[in-house]
This record gives sequence, structure tokens and C-alpha cells, in this order.
Amino acid sequence: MSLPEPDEIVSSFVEESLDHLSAVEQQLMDIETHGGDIELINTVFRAVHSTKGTAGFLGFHKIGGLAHAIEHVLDLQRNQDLAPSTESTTALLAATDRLRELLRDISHSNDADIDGHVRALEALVEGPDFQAAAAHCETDSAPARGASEPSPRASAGPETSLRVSLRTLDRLMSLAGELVLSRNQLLQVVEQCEAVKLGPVSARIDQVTSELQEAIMQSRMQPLANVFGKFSRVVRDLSSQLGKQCHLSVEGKDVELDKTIIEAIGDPLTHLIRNALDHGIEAPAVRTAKGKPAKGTIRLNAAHRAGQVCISICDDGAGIDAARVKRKALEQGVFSAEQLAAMSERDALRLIFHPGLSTAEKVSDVSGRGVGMDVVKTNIERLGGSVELETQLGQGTKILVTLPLTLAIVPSLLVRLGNERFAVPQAAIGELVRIRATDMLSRVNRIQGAEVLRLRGDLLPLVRLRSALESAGAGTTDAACPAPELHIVVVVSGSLRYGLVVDGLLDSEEIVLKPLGRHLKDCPGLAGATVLGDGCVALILDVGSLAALAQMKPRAEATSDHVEAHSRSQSDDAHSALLFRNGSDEWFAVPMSLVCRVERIGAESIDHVGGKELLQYRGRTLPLISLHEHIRAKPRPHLPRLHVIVFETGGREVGLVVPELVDIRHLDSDVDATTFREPGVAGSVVVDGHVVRLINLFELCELSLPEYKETLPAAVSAGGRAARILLAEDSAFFRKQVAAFLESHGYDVVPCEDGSVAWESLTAAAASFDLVVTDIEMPRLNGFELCRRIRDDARWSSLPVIALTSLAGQEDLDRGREAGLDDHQVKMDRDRLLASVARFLSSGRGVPAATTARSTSAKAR
Amino acid sequence: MQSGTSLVPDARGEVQLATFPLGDLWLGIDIRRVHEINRNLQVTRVPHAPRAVRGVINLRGEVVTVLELGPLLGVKSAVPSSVQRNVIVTWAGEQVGLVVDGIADVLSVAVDDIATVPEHLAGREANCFHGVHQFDGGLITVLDVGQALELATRPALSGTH
Repeated sequence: MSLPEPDEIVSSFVEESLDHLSAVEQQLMDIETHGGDIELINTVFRAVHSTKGTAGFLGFHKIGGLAHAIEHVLDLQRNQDLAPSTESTTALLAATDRLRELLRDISHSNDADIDGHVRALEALVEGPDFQAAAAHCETDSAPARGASEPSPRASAGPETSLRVSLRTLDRLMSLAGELVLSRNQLLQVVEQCEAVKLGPVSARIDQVTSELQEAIMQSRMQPLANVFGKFSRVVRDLSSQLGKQCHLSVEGKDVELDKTIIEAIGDPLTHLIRNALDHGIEAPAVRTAKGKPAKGTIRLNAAHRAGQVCISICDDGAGIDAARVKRKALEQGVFSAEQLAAMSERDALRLIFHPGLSTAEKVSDVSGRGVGMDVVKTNIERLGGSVELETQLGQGTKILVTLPLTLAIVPSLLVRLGNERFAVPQAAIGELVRIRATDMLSRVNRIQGAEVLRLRGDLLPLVRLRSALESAGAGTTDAACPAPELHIVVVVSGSLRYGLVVDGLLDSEEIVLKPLGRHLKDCPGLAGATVLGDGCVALILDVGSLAALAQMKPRAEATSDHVEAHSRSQSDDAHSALLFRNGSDEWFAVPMSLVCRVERIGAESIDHVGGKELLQYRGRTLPLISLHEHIRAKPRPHLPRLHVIVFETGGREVGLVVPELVDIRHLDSDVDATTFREPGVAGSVVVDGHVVRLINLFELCELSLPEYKETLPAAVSAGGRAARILLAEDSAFFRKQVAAFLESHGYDVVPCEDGSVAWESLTAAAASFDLVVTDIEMPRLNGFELCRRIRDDARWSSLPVIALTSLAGQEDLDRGREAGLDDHQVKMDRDRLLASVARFLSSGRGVPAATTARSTSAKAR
Repeated sequence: MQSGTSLVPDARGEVQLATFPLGDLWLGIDIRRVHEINRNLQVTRVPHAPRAVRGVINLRGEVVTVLELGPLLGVKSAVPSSVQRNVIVTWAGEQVGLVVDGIADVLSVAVDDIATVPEHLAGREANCFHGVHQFDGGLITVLDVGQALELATRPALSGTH
């Protein structure tokens, strides 16, 4: 056996020691907060001790010396000769930081200066002149640290090695094996020219490849703990520096993200946390004066949401004063007084993301470091994420960062412009709209020279991709050749929402993101490139910067008759529904709020297993439902390509096979609930002279997949009897629907046709209810008023009230919260409503409703 | 940043130059920089790119930028695209394609025989060249790939198309 190369020994020493020391920071802080936990001190001691041992053996005497000094202090602490204190923790933290620095720059470690740290540690041991020595240490080590500043920075760059769990590796290995087998099979089939056998082989390779891709992605996933871990130190050091008291609570450390994102998100998050502490949390005296606890709290939370990761940073500090932001913007000449006067509060708050605007009254060395919120925003957007801000003056600020799980693979929609193809990331797509030539005049208008689309009563600004991508003056004009129809991709980027006009919509594809070369780094509107199946390169659009190219402003300003738009979207009973045709003359609709997404598939990709239709899809199996098998409908025509409407029930996805999509329309609630009523069909409406049957997806699903019903939350009873629910809903159709499914799940429902009838039932002496479910828009007494009355009466202070809406906007949610509503649910979303009802019945009011409410609104977007 | 590269001769004091016609120039590129030469010029156009960029191609799964050398060096190239070649060079860890008007020989040239850029070339972005080599067949202009690529990053690059 040959000895390993000296370099190898050294690098494994470095790796191992850094590994040992990685947890020390947190442990030292724990020792500080929990007093002298001997076991914990021992753990730190062992980590430092093993570093010292090997360093001495390899001749790194400075590392050994520093480790020795640290170890000595820890030794005294574990023998309880020295009590852990803030001072000792500060010195130990500084010394272990330095130790890590030395390890990272191992070749120069013997020339490094460690005297300051050693003296500070020795002073701890000797006791009395600690203060002086510590002060000494600060000045002493400052130049040394300054000089070494670039090196940790450089080494903080992308790491080149990665720990992968054995399980992931085993899975990769077995998948690779399977791929080899499939390849052999393919070679054989090709050799024998047996075209018939190609199908199964290609299906197998298809599946193995997607699983392999998933497993490889998994190997790149790392927990956010790697980033979150350092924040308690940041908060600790900074609050002592600023003379503030602050507690950091961290949730969601286990949420995993791609390594690239984990590495890139550290700096922006650190900045946001420092900001929260520096600008948000007030000094203890100020807080006490305001009646808040002296110690502030910053809550850092990460969670998966709709294929993305949401990280929120909430502080209970002073909040951001919109008026002050405006004043700053005026002082710094960023905007004129008129512009600012016309600006809503929300837009004014958003100004803090504007380059060149800092609202700190005094520039401290904490946040006045030349990195503004605009840089944070840019960096997060570069990762394909977005930043949102909510604040309440005096109460605190919440910053919401949304990030994609990975950068490497982007599910995208390919769009066509002339002969060129572009990819739009699915995460940025709200919906797809096609405007026929005949509808063009009524739906596309010009407001102050800008094109807008009337979409369900809202005005949506339009951006022509062609003009956004062409430099001024070049190329063809759209006006010259009016397109027969308009293909619009409704995209969402942060607070921006607009329609991107393209020449055509092609397939959706999972594309592999490739960076553009150095010459194209600064091209606006592009996020990268990808190689398509046919070998051509397609560019990936960046919807955020495209909007900037088209000089679009964030919402509200762009839609000047917003008021009109809003009044319509608030008309509560208008429901947006996806219209489709089964064959030639049968029309159906499903509520948009239940549609997760729509996929276009080849008819041949449907598998028939045990009399059921299945779709192999992204490594999973999607059960399919065909209308004619369950309701009175004609068999669907044989078409080469079909649509699948994907929706969720009982936590699982189900697909409804649809031959032909027609449109997304607002349906009013004038529903005939008798003529066509059958299990699976809720009723019918008339749209453009066609009878459209409304599909009840959940009933349909129960007919087709009875086993799915069991996964729904069980009805919660109240003291031995069925829980009693008061239901207020003015539309007879919805009242029947909601009452029916609540009853079918074992609840006792009392339906009322408006708020005031509901109020009478509630106040009737004999009645006692466990929960109220109410519509918002109702004649005589609306949902908000009903709720306010309930809240104002002490008898019902603990009665949960759930609101039913068609599509909840943020303003509705805010208004609802003010009125005392506990939750918002979409009318036809049976699963969520049942889950919400069950939750409130079992744990009562006071359960945060934020999560469900927000996910509803996110879906509505 | 000094982006130019210097010509490093081999043991015999020579460099090997791959040569290409480009407009009225005979262009030499240090062969160690040349990764491959192909006809892969089916580019995808990139909106808002600097003028010298023709587009991007798929080179065995990687997306590679293709530069138009003509406007970059102030040379008028008038050959049909079927004759043009794409010279893939490696610089700063990235592969970049350069469009030339065809391919010619590989020549060994003593570094000492490469003279500074003469007056009549000075107007044409002279610092993109290492120098010129007088040859019985004519004059080879030796391209400084690093400088040329650096110049091409400027968005407002003027030149004749």
C-alpha cells in the first residue's frame, strides 16, 4: 500500500476539520444561552481537540496554537472552573472563526497572526483584565482580519464537492443499470428492424430517463439549514452591536433547494435579516414605550408551496412608513412630487426596491454597505424568484421571497414568434388566452397608447413580444398585417402581471437551462438558452425584464380604469369556468378554481390498465377520467391529441380527458340545477346559445375512483352529535351544492338564503351552531356584516366563520380579516372547504388561516 | 483588465497558425486556441445582442455564441454563407465561434518574424492583432483572440455589416 500524497493528507485534514468545526458556532451560542451544558462543551472541545492534534502532526503550528488556546478555555468551562459568559462566547466565536479562516488558507496559515485571539482567550482564563485585553484584541486583529477578508470570500465561492446520501447514490446506480438494459434492448430491436417493439422500449427509456433526472436532481438538493444555520450568529452579533435585543425563530430548515440556489441565496437573505434587525426592530426602550416586549422577534420561515419554495422574514418592529419612503424619494430626486402624490401606498412601499433609494435615516455600517434592496431584488430575480413586501406601521414587516426548487430544469412553454421559438418558464405563466379576430375589437383596447386586454373584467396590459425583442425602428410592424387571432400568454412576475402576445403556442417541455456566453450576459429579456429536441437552440424569456423593455410599470398605474375592472371582479357570483366540448355538440364546463393545470397529450400515451385509463406522466401515474363512462355523454371522438384537465382531490392528482378546449368564461350563477342534474353534473347554464353542463369534478371522481373518497378528512362531530353548520348563500345553486357535500360528509347543515336569514337562525333561542359558512356578496346582509355581528356578540366569540368566495383577491382577504373571518375558501373547492371545516371544528378559532387563504389566492392568480 | 493574450512560441521559437481568408485579410490564429472548425452556422438569433454577435448554436449540447469577425475587425466579407466556416476557439474557459470566409493552410511561423501592425491596418482596431507576418504568398494578420473577444462584448460596436 502506498502512502497518500502529502497534499491529499493536508486537504483531507482541512475538509475533516472544517467539518468538525461547522457545528461549533451554533453550539457555542447554545452554550451561551443554556449555560454550561457539559455535554455540549465536551462536543466542542473534542472538535477543537482533534483539529489541534492533526495540525501539530502536520506541522501547522499556528493552527495548533490557536486550537490549543480555545481548547484551554473550553477545558476550564467543562470543569466548571470558568462560567460561560457573553464575553467568553464572543472571544471563542471570534477565535473559531479565525481558526476556520486559517484552515481555508492552509498554505499560508503558518505566517498568519493569531496573537490577538490567543491573548483574548488567555485573558479569559486569567480573568481580571479581560476587558482591556478584549479591546486590545479588537484593534490587534482588525488589520489581520482585514487582510484576510478576500480569502474567505474567494473560498466561499461555489464548492466543488458535494455530500450525497448513500440512498440517492444507490438509486442512481440502479437507474443507470436499468438504462443500460434498456439501451441493450433498444440496440437489439433496431438491429432486427422490429418497429413494433420500439414503442415499449422507448417508453421504458423515457421513464428511466425521467427517474434518473429526478434522482440526479435529488442529489443536488440541500437543506436550507445550510444557509439558515449562520443567521443566529448574524442576529446575535448584530443585536449586541446595535444595542438591541432580538430573538430569531427559524422554521423549515429541512426544506430542500438546489445547491446552486442555496449558495446564491445566502447573501440576499443575510441582507434582509440584517435589515429587519437594523431598520425593523426598535431599541429596547422604544419597544417598551410602545408596549411591546423589549426583545424583538424575527421569524424566518421556509415552506414548499406549489412547486416553489417560499421563504418569509417577519419582524415585529416598526414597519415601513410609506410617507417617509415618498419623502426620501422626493429628496433624492428619484420621483417628482406629482408622481409620488399619485402613487398608492403599496406602490410607494415598493419604492424601497428602487435603485438608489435608502430609507435609513442615518447610514450605519450595518445596512449602508452599498448593497440596497434593489440588489437583493435583482439577485433573487436572477434566480428565477420574486420578492414581495407587506408592512404595517408599528406592527412589523414581512418579506416574502419565492424561489424555484432548481435552476437546472425548467418546465416551460414553447412559443413561436415568426420562425423562431422561445421558452417561457411555466412558473411565470398564469394562463393562456386566445382572442379570435371577431373578438379583437371588443377585447383589445388602447389606453394612452398602450394595448390592454379585457380579461374577465380586469384590464391586462399587453406586451408584443416582437416589439419587446426588436430594437427601435427595426423589423416588421404588427399593424401592417393584422393577425387573424391573438395568442396571449398571461405572465406573472412579482407584482407585475401582463399578457405577452406571441405568434403561436407550441408544446410544453421540460428544458435544461444553459447559460448564455459572456457576450450575451447583458441581453435584456433573456434568462438563458436551451437545446430543443431537434437540436436547435431556443432562448428562454425573462418575463420580468421583458416588461422593463416594454417600459411597463407595475400594476395599478397601468390600469387606469381599474375601478371599473374591480367592481366586476368583486361581483361575487360570476365564476370563471373552463369551457370544453366533447365531440361536436356537447358543451361542458369546470370551475377554473379547481383546475391545477391543463396538459396536451398524444392519444397513444394513454395506457389501459384493468379497465381504467392512466397516463404515465413525469415519472408518476395520473388516473384519467372520461366523461362518457360516467355521465350521459357521447364517447369522445378519436383524436390524435387530447387535453387533460388536471385537478386535485384527496391530495392526489386526477386528470379529466377533454377532446377540445373552448375558452375561459365568466358564468353567472343562473344555473338550472334540475334539467340535466345527474351524479357528476351539477347543472347547466346557457353560454352563447349553447347549453353548457357544469361538471362536478368531485362527484365525477367518486364515480370513477371510489377509493379516493376515503382520503378526505373525516367529519368532526361535536359532543357526540353531528356538528351543526350554518350556511348562508344567496345563490340557490351554490347553496344546494355546498349543503349537499357538507351533508354527505356527515354534517348537519342549516341552509339560509342570505345573511339576515342566517342571523335570525343563529339568534333563534334553540339553535346552537358549531360553525358558520357564509357567502360574501348577499342581499340585505352580506358576509362581512354577518361576521361583524357575530364577532360583536360575546355569545359567539369562539364560533368559527368561514367565507366562501369565487376568487379571493388580497383586498377581500384583508377586509375579511378585519371583519373577523377565520378563513376564505373557494366555493366549488370541496376538498379545501372540508379540510378547513374539519380543522376549525377540531381545534376551534385562533388557528392561523393564513396558509390556506394565501394558497387560494395564489391559485386564483 | 489586460484581456489580450501573448503569443507563446514553442521550443523552436515558432507558433503554428491556422489561417483563414476574411474579406481582404488573411487571418492567422494560434492553433492552440482553435478547438475545431465546422460549418455549423445555423444560428439562433439573439435579440438585443452586441452587433458582432451572429447568434448562438448548439455545439454538442452546449450553447455557444457565434461572432461575426468581419464587422468586428472592420473588414467587409462578401462570400456566400455556404462557403463560410465557424472556427470554435476557447478563451477564458468558454467556447466561442468565429465566422470566417473559408479555411486555408496551417503555417509554422517564427515569433521573431511577426512584425508590429503596419500603418495601413492601424485604423482597424489594431490592438486586436498580435502583428503581421510577411510571407511570399502575402501578409498574414495574426489575431489576438482575447482582445478581439473582449472588443466584441461592447454592445455599441460600430462597423459595417
